[in-house]
Amino acid sequence: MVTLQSYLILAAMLFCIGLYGALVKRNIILILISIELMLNAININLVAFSAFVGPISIKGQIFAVFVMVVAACEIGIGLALVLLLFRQVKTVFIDKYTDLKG
Amino acid sequence: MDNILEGILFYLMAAITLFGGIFFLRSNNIIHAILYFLISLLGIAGIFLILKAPFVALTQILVYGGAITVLILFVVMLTISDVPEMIILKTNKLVAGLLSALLFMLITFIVGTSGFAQKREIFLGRETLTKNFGQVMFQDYLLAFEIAAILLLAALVAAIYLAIGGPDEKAEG
Repeated sequence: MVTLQSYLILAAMLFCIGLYGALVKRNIILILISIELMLNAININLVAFSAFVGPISIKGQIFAVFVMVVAACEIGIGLALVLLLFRQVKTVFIDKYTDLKG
Repeated sequence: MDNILEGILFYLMAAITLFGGIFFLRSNNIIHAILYFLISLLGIAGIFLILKAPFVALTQILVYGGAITVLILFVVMLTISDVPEMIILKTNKLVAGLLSALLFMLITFIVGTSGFAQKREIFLGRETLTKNFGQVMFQDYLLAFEIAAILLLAALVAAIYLAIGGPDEKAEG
């Protein structure tokens, strides 16, 4: 018995794993990956709704592809910023990024 | 029969996805963490296939499994420092775990009490799906498609500009 509920709960689990990772991890690259996991959970929701709700609805899948486009932009710029930060501070651990402290 | 197969495949793919996610959280080595992330992504691609969205599944494997993972691995290799890989840094695991668990319970409660979540039919047919996808994408959502293309181009230019060194290095050179 696989209902829409199963997919939504799977997506919720994955989203919470991503949230926990984004809060706990101290390596800035792993935080970016956690955010990607959260976006993927959203994509599962969109595609599941698209498959279950309407007879001819394909809009959810199109929305999911646009989410992927934005996620790719985000990870690209994020990683470029990580490289820039690494050149200045020589580390990828966010506890060392204390330049903005007064 | 079809329903049983769908159920088995769903639980298999869900197990793969959650396995990847949980071991991503548990691993102390960053390369291992990235590989577990990749396993999770492939499980999600399987979920998309079960939901009869082959184009999204293929895009998932190409964009995430191919491009983004390789990009992340390159950045990891470029940012190796002398600091040992895993120092125990202060993390507030209790608050983070409580927050995540609370959010999960809230979502489960909402999903469980709402009526729409009981549907179990998958409507879409298999054959014309990718064709439909292309038609809808290039007719109804053409403007959004173009805007996404411009966004990708802008992100490409910005990423190259930042990776070269940003405003500082340009002023010096």
